[in-house]
Amino acid sequence: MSMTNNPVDPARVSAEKEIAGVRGPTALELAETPVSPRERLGQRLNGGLLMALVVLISLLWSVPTFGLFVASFRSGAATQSTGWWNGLVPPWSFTLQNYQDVLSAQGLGQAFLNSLIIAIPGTILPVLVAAFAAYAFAWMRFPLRDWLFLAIVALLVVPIQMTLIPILSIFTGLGITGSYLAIWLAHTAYGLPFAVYLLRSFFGALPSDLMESARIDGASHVRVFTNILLPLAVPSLASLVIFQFMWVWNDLLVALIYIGGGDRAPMTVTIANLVNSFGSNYQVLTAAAFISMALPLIVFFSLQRYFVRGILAGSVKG
Amino acid sequence: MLPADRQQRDAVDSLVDEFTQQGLSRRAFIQRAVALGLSASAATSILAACGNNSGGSSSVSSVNLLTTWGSTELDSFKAVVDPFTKQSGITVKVDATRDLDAILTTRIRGNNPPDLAILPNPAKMQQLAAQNKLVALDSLVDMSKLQSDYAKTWLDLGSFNGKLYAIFYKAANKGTVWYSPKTFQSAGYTIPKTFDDMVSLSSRIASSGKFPWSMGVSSGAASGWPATDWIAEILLNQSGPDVYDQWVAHKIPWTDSKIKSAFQEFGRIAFGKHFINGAPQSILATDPQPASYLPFKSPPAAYMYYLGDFAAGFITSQFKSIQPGTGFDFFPFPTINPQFQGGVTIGADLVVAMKNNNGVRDLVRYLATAPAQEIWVKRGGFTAVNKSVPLSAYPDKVAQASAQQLTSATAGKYGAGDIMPPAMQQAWWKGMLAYIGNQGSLDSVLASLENTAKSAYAS
Amino acid sequence: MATKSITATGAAVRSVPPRKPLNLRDLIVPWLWIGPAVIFVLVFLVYPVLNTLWLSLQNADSSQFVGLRNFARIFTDSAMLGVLGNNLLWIVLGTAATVALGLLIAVLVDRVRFEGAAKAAIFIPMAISFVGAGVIWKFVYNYDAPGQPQIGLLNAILTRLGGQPQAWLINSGINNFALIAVYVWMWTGFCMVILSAALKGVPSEIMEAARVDGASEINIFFRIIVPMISPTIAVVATTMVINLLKIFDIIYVMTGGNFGTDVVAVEYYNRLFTFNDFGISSALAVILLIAIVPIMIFNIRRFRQQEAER
Repeated sequence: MSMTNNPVDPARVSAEKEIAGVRGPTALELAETPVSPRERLGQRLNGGLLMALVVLISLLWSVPTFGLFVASFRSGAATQSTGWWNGLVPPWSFTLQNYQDVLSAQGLGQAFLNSLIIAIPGTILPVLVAAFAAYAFAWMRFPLRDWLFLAIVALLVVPIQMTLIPILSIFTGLGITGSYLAIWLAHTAYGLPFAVYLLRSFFGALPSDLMESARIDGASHVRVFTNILLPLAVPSLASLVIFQFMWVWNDLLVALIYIGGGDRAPMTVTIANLVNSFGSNYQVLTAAAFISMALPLIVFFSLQRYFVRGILAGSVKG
Repeated sequence: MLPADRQQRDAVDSLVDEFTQQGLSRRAFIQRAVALGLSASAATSILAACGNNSGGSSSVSSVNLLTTWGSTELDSFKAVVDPFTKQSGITVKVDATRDLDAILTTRIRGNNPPDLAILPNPAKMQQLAAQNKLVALDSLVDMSKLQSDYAKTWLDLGSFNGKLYAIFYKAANKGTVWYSPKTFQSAGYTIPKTFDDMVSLSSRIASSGKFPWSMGVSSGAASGWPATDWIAEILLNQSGPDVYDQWVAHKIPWTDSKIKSAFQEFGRIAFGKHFINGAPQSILATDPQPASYLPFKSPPAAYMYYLGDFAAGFITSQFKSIQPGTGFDFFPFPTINPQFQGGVTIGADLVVAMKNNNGVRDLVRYLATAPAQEIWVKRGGFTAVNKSVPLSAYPDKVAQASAQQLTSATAGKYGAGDIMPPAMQQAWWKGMLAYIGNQGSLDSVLASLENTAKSAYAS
Repeated sequence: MATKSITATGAAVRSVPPRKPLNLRDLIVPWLWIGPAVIFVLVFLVYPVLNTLWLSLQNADSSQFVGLRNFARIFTDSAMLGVLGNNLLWIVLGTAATVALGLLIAVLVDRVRFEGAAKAAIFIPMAISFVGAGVIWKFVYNYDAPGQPQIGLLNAILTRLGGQPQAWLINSGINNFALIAVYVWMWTGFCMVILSAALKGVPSEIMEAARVDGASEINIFFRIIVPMISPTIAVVATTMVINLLKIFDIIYVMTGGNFGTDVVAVEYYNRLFTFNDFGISSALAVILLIAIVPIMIFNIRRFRQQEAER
């Protein structure tokens, strides 16, 4: 609170640094105590235990989704009269009806395209804008830098509902309500606080020697950004892309407000309309969930390979 | 739905095409329409709806309509609108959402209102009319036609400060108790005529070790509403339409003995010994839809279920081969005070306009007509309040009986919660949950509702 | 002032030569980089925030200035205080569970062969649309009366074991926890993915060397991994706290805020859209905004520290 007015005590900083232990203890320090064979055996057991734990957690996490998956192949009447696990017991009476109902929904193909048209720029734009800003926040010095950054991150707390009315009247004033442009701009803005926050944190953690030596060698910011920073930041960019894509892809509220239910509506709108006003027919949502999940999962898996160790190998000081 | 309907509709459609595009004369149009089986008045109203799109100050080629409907409701509405679009050339772009309050508030305040909206209750209409966000319909529609098609109650309810803002469209009869005639017959139960009969039948079933009732009031953010329907229906039949009106307008306090006794009457069912399996938890945790299944399971898990006529849709979608009239049916809400026998509470979706243009005018006119409503009535799931829609249009005996109960009701009153201010309605929903959860809390629930009312009605 | 002290710190701990004073170019260039983001944020977020601040000082239909009366009404309403208490419960439990589990899983899957599959299993809940998730958890928490077939998984297990079915979302002793469990299920994948990305930045040489030297895995975890990725842990935790401050969907869909599960954002939504009370709803939103000040102070400290150390 009074942080800003206090002259920073270098001793305290270095003490904190030690507690945080950013460099971590060296291998030598850790190896100071010799390890007995008994402990090694314990470790192997630990390894087996850990493995079992991973499997257990993964299974636990998958049970609800698996239930949904089974239910998506059962009739509405069956789903509402017995638990989904009964569907696994013979005699099986699986049906593709739910999938048929979703896929035959009027305009689903167009809606799928619309979702893509909304989600691709809705992902690239905020990630780009945020990457520029995060670079400056992490590696440039300018007045009010931290306060500006803080302000942007603080806006994470703004509930989207709070922005809808003022933004809609701006869009309507500009005459772009109902256009793709409106929703791209909206998703870019809504995604920015988190994107800037995440990227600045990752960028800031990159080794300074690298940046500074490049700058001293006379490389421009643009070159440092594209040639050094972006390649190093691939894992963080990949995770950001995954989330932003997913959020935009699954969004219903923002689309309903800025695009409406017409020809440009995304798939979420079409799917929501499969249920009537009393919530009947909800079993089609089981199939719809899997159909709409397919693409985010493809994005997730195709970006998986960027989560690799060693991008930073050799570049870390110490 | 039925091939015959579709055939007729297609024929009318092509006739309309001829009329609008090839200059078929009005007289020839009406003659041929009558030959297709439409009444003369129906044919003229189609003409009226589609023919006169001249004279509007602003001319549009499409209108945007916001609604909560989805699935089959949306399909049926599109079937209703199709002939209109063919006739007038005006397309209707439907935005559907379950979150109507949020979308509508945002779009109105964000200067981008839809042309029309289908509101789920008159309270929202009153709220918007008071905020001056709605277009008065008096000058847009043919009032004398409306007055002959709709009972005065509906026009009054659709009005604010003397002007008409809403047309009541898709109605629901909330005076229906669902049961299985087959089961009743084989068990030797008779349909109760009075509330006391109903309670004693319930006790009889309970004493045989079975559960007489099914009840479910869970409904996400709107949890509690089915219980408020109970109270409204009881109060209307117990204390009559005048007290009902006073209560709705908050002329008598919630702590009044008449209101308290309606809650207690409901309590006779909800808290009846061995009346509802798993009560009170099951009442609070079950949605109205799955709750409606219990009397029709084999063996039956309950014998009676109270909910509006839309419950028929739930039942038939879960039990595909169930027969209306034998497999499932309803009996009218039983008499409590003979003086007020036959009171029925009603819910309805209503059409309101936010903009004034030729598209809005023509569509509102069209939707208000009996022939336009018949299209949906025939497809099922629609009860009309338009008097000119013939009972014969309803797809089965049960739907017909429900519509008849509506038109012949001695006192048809709009469901109380839906005409109270939204803050009051929501507090009441929550109050019902508290009461169901704890029978002894009745006085404190009523006192806190009265407290809410003091501020909710003030604004 | 902020910049000054940071520069001072930087100079104090750094071995690099002191920087040259800022020139005009150095002042302009950063703005070109942050410009687009700043403009977006100003229009789409700051403007609505200012608008909300203004509305929060007026009455329900914004026709009259009422000062702080809306806030007074909120803080003197006992029901509203319960709502704030629920938010606190969500923040504490939700953040602790998602971050701890996300970290644990990220570290564990880092060393098993089926990393991709395990990660996908944890991540999938994030990819499911909320509509789908609502249905999923209906199949878990659903309550049917005793003696009826249980559609909900938990009650099916419970009754199979001879117990009575529980109304998980009604019973006020458990419903908040049941709802938080849904959040944890959905958001652990988020924490895991980001922490996992950070983990890949921990040089394997250090860990290998430690292993060769016989350091236990637990030692490696607490003495190497956690310190090295602590900035990312802080980012994830902060994001979770903020997310939980405005938690809405799960509660709105599953209980509607009934049975003692209400939270600020649900109240905000009701007041705004159902009651059209722009005064109280805006005041609630302003409370959310104020609530994050301490979190931001924590962050600014952290960033200064990070700056000082690199």
